[in-house]
Amino acid sequence: MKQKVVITGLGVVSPYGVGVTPFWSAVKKGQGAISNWQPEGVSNYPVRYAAAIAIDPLQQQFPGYFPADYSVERRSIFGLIAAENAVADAGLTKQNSARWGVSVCSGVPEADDQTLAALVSVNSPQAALVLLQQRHQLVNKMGGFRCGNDLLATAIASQYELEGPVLNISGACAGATQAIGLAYKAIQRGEADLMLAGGGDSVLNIRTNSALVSLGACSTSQRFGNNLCRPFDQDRSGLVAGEGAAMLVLESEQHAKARGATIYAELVGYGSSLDAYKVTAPHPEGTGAVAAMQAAIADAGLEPYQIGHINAHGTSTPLNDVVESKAIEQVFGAAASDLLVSATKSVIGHWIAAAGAPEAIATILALREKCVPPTINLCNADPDCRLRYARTLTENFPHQFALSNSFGFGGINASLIFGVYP
Amino acid sequence: MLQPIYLHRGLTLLPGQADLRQLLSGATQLVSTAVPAGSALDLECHGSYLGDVDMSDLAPDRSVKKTTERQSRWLINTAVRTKDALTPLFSGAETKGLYIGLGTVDCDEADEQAFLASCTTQDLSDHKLTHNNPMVGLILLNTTATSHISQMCQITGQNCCFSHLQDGGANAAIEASYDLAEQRIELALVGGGAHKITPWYLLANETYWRSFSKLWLTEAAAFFVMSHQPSANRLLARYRGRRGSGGDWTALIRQLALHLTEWPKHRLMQIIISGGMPDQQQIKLQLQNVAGAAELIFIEDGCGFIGAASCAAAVNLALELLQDNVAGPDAEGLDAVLVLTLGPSQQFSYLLTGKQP
Repeated sequence: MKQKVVITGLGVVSPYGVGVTPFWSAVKKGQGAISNWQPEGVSNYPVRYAAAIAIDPLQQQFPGYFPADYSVERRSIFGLIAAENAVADAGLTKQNSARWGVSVCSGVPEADDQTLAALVSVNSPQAALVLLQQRHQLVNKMGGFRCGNDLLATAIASQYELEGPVLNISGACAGATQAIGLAYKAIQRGEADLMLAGGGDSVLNIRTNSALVSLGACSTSQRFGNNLCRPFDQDRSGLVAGEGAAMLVLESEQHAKARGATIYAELVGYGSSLDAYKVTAPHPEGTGAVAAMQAAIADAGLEPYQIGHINAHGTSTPLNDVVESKAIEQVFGAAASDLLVSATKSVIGHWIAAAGAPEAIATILALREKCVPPTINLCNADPDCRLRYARTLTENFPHQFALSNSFGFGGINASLIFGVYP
Repeated sequence: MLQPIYLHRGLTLLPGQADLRQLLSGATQLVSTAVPAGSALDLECHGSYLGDVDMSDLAPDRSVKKTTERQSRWLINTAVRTKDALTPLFSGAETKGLYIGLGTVDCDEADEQAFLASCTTQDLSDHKLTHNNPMVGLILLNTTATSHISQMCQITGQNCCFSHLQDGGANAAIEASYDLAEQRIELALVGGGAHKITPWYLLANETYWRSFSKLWLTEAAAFFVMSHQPSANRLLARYRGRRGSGGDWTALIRQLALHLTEWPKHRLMQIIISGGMPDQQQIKLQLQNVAGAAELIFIEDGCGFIGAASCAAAVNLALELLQDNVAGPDAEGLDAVLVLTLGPSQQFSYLLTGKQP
């Protein structure tokens, strides 16, 4: 018999600080996190805006997560703090963690820019390795050379002494949504009682960000200043990167009620799909996006008209926003006109591998507070984006179910459906 | 009533087109050479290299050619050829899923060499913006291989890719089996690939390698298929969990013993273990009460450490053994082979495979 899955804890590390409160307050107000940004020590970098986190205050507040041996890097630091935040929010202790697991997606650890640049006059990767050995101090607090791809998952598993599944997902921009979906399935089938799920990422380093620039994925426009991230707007020009981490505590309803947990919402459906199209663009008909949403709706045992709000992937890229809008129209048919669509990335930027996690939190809190947060900077909707987008905070919008989309590079698609917990 | 999950043998790609069973028997050996970066890390490390694979006969389109490098080509090559070898299965399944254990992708070393000549972050920025292959973002993205495989095999259903190392491959197999059992798909293409052996691979996993007494890394990829379409061999049971504090095996042994009692007619013939390089003696000790007379096969003894490819390679080997196992004159019942994976996250997982009753 399938277990019901509920959300009992939320944790966020964002440009607004640590915790759900500053994050959600800013998202509801439409207080954008995007501001002037250049890589440290670089001028005239083509990307001028991003939603960056101030590291120094974070280190002062959480010194224990910045180890002296540089064994943890930026993404994982964000993720570990978010996990602690979520666990505390859920009122959990480490007792009885034998049937707990973790499911996360974090970006690949990168060496920080200063470390890369400091490898001076090396003429081979072998020599670089020797240099790193000899000059350990060059691997500074944000370095990633000595970190595996699974650092966040294994660090959480170790810290909380988990004995359930340890899932480290690679899913591009859909990864965190897939991580939450897999955690949901693990609890649903009885493989675990509780799962920490979410992700952490940052692409605000030269190596990764320049690759996105070269691909043409990032907006390099200076036309709109801080208001550059404009999902569904006719003047959108590409993604605007952000960074951060968000973690959710998922539990079986039985486990949550037994310990008297406060329940935010119920996770009722998950679907994933592949475009099986070119890696360089989404399927023009949005077939993968359609399939993921339909799979989630079927998994939830719902009809499309029962969903009131969609937290869109809404990247502010020319292709995604049109394809997603069309896919939503196709899935929801006549009911699409009753939907209210929001795009959290307009406020917080694109957290890449982690993106689905803060968006899931925004979806849950919108359900709980019977509102829909704004999609900011949407001044003139693209004529091909014909849905009803929440341009301002919409209050008094009770809805029973909400859907959150994430569509990753290469056509990896995932959708989650949350429902009000009675 | 739950439908049985059947296993269909796919392909395992090893250096020199070696056969894993022959490697384990000692009939053949992989060529391995000292990895220079190992000495920089005070690691005694040898490597067996795949080189690149020729996919021209698979007719990859332009986007595939422009956004792959050799590590992703190992995966794509092995996945597509597995699918081609099992075409009737794919034709008969309406919903197909894809589950892969992935590594991370470094640049080709030539590019690393070039950008490491930078002196300042400004130099680094200028160099990257000037010299970047426009597709480098997709080349470096490990899930680009997933996209290509889905396109070339026309797989559009449920999917997930996992890291890291053996955990990635094992979680791919287990998740696929659950999606089949829960009827989210009718067929799953399951596999994984090892990393390129580069200094960055060594450095990123430095802590893990230090638990190995001797480090032999091998480049490899492997895929197999799970489906509801009958074959001679079934998935009888699966399990995953993280070892308790102090490396406690109790939960695993208890669960395995329980699963074995659920299949009383099956006789456990072999246990294929991957991720066992750090301490084979400890593993033998832990398994002695539940293994019975089963032969313990440490896959890395034959092929070296193949990371995320190891679970699928072990399943392919298990299916080969199930096909060829010859019962003794007094034997009764059906054969089973356990594929046991120990991962760097301290997760252990198993797939119990056996002959269809």
